[in-house]
Amino acid sequence: MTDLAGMSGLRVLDLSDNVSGAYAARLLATVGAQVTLVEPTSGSSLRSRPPLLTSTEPARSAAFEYLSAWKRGVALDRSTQAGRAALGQLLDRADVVITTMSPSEALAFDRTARAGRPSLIHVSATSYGLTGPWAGWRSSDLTDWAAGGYLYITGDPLREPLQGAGPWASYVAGIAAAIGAMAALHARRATGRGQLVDVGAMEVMASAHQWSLVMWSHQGRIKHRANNRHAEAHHPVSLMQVADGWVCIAAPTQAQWVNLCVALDLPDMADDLRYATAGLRFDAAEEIDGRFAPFLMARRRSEVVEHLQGFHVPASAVLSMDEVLEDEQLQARAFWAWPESLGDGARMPGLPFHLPSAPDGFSAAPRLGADTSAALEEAGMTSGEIEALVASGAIAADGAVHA
Amino acid sequence: MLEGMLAGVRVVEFGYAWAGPLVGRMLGDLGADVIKLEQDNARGGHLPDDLALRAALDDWRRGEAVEPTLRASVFPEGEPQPDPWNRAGIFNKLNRNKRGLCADLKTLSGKRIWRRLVETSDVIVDNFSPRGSKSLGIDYETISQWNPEIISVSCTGYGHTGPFRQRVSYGPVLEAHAGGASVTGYADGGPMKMGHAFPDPIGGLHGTFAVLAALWEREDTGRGCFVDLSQLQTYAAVQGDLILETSLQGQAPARGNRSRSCAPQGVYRCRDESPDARESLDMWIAITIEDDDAWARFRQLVGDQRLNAPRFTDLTGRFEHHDELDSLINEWTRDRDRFELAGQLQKAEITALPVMTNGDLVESRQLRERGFIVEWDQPGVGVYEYGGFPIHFSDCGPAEMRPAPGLGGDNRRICEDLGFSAEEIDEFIEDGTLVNIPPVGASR
Repeated sequence: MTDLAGMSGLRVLDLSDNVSGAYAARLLATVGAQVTLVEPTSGSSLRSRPPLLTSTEPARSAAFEYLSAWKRGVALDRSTQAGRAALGQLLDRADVVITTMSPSEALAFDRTARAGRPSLIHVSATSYGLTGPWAGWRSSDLTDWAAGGYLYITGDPLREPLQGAGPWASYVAGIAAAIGAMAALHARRATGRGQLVDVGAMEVMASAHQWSLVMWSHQGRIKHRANNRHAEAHHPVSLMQVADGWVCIAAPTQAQWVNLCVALDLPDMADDLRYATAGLRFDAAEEIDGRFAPFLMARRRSEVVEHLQGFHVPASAVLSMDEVLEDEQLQARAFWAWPESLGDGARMPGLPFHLPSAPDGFSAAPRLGADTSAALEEAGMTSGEIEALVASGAIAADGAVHA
Repeated sequence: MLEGMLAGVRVVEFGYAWAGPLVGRMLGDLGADVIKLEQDNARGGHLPDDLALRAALDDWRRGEAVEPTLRASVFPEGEPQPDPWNRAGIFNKLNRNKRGLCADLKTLSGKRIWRRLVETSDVIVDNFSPRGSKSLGIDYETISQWNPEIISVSCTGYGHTGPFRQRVSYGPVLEAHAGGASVTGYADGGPMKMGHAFPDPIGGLHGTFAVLAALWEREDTGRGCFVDLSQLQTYAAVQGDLILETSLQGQAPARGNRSRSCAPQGVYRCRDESPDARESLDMWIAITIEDDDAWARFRQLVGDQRLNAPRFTDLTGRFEHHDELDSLINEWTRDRDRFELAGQLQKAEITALPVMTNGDLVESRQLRERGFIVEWDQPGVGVYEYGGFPIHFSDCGPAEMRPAPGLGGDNRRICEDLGFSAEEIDEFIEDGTLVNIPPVGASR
């Protein structure tokens, strides 16, 4: 391995079975690293994670198919000595290995994997991190929301706090894990040494608040839920109803507020001292929304958004996912990837952003063990050795062993 | 030390709001030399000279009604004076580990400073629209001629191309546009926005990753690049599974706090608390029962015979009777302490966690033992606690915490580093290019 070969020279092993680790590895693949997913011979547990796609038989996981794009797939049984030895050969050639194991397993794996491989970088992505009193506590998408502080502040103040609809806390931790991998690579350039990178979703989410933490440390105040408004200080930065659905209107600055009042043909509100600051407007939100309603309820989403954008007021329709798929901005920027094997019209986000080192074209998630033979051949095994491992059950290879 | 990780990398962060400055903060925490470039009105400025607002401000100082302009700024103890532009907690937490340069790029002197910055830096981060970056002369076409190795990352809402490239946005607007608000919500309600502008940290973290990957690639190719990062796309990227599902079988309905694969799961009421001594607050616990074994352990712990009814035995039954289960569980949690309860449940190998408030996060033993809660002495403000750096490196770290710069606080030193003479710098100050207080009446 050489640190001068650019992104395409980086080899990443993805041993993860949660969204954080899998998204970290996907990100590395989208900037050109060679990422190999290493699954148990029974398949990664992500393969059965909802949402499930019934277009295929058996049903496949949309999460797995999305998260594993651009990855190669190796299947091996780490409970066998031969499986561990095969993994060892892959680790010998790897720059980064990503795991999502429990703290005790992760630390044991770290000792073994990095012994004799001083330049290997091991990135661990878990819910709470590998240390502290909650390390090893059980977690779910919901408890990840609870741990990171977003749950308490989202939803109706008169009802139970509300989770975001996807495992987005895990995705955020995944981006941090990918940052950790790259930062450790940069450090290795100077030191020659690899290291253990420990990322916990709770901590990453705690760092992804706008002003909650200083609101407590500077003022001792608890941040509350505010439904579809942006507590405590701005209005409107909120979802509002119009004739055919909802829009988001965000006018926190004085200039935007004035423009908004003019755009809605309510210029008197721009001069009203009761609404003179963003926070006064938050306190008067009900009243303000009541005055906006006749204009908004008489118009459709697209009309309202185009009209407000014409006055430089940030606004968008609240789009359903079906509408996101038809969105002209995302289409114009060639955002979509087309995993045809999943069915007619199957689409998923492609590259989140485009670097010159990005892979050409799209490559779909691997079938179980699709690249086992190729990866182990690259690592120096003969086809005879590979066949013997398949026969013993230590590895699973889909398709013929390459000659 | 994290100082070593990006030693020798110079970043100019010309950002506002959250996403762009977050890229700068992450790179600064990792040891890059980050210069925060600002315009003189970037932080707002002198407070409005208005009697009504003055009166409200006095209320705020008494700790009663909160002067609204000041709420989001989060001034320490609610005291903005004497220099509110340097005292806002929301600014200082986001801009540690940076040096401050406040310069007017539209003057001739400003253009000289900008060109020297580009020539001596590795990375430029901005979140200006395509129109704004062209008019400021910070667009890639211009700056790559001065420094072909420069990496320019522009974190806009919609991106630099496409029909909506000139649209203006904030995080919640992009959340609505990317579908996130439409899938989030109570099962019986409409769309719901997240409690903070969630697309901003997601865009900023993706942007940080993009910088690190581009720097790595540059070692091989010797070339810089332009990264046109659309926060609409990075937010849609974290919804890839839901979008793929929708493309084949339509959008799944909002499901509140429930899971698609297991039941029961929910957020249950616990004993109220008064953490800030001003009010009694609702407190909650999140519980997920993954499978039949966890359900058996849960029933044993709760000891309520009603949970043993045959209709709750298998997953299908638990989904069907979820409302009833929620009431029974709420009965059990209602008067209990959420932290004790979570400890008991976890001990019994049941997935549960207190729903953490912002105060809980700062006081959290888990975060403190990991060294996440940090403090620094912010000049003119004092020693306060902040959230730290969320990535731990066994061979480097923890990140050093240097206070956020005052507006233009490092003007002279940075210009010296850029090779300007003392006389030239005096000229920049005299001609109004370099400033360190905002103009009177500046407002955001």
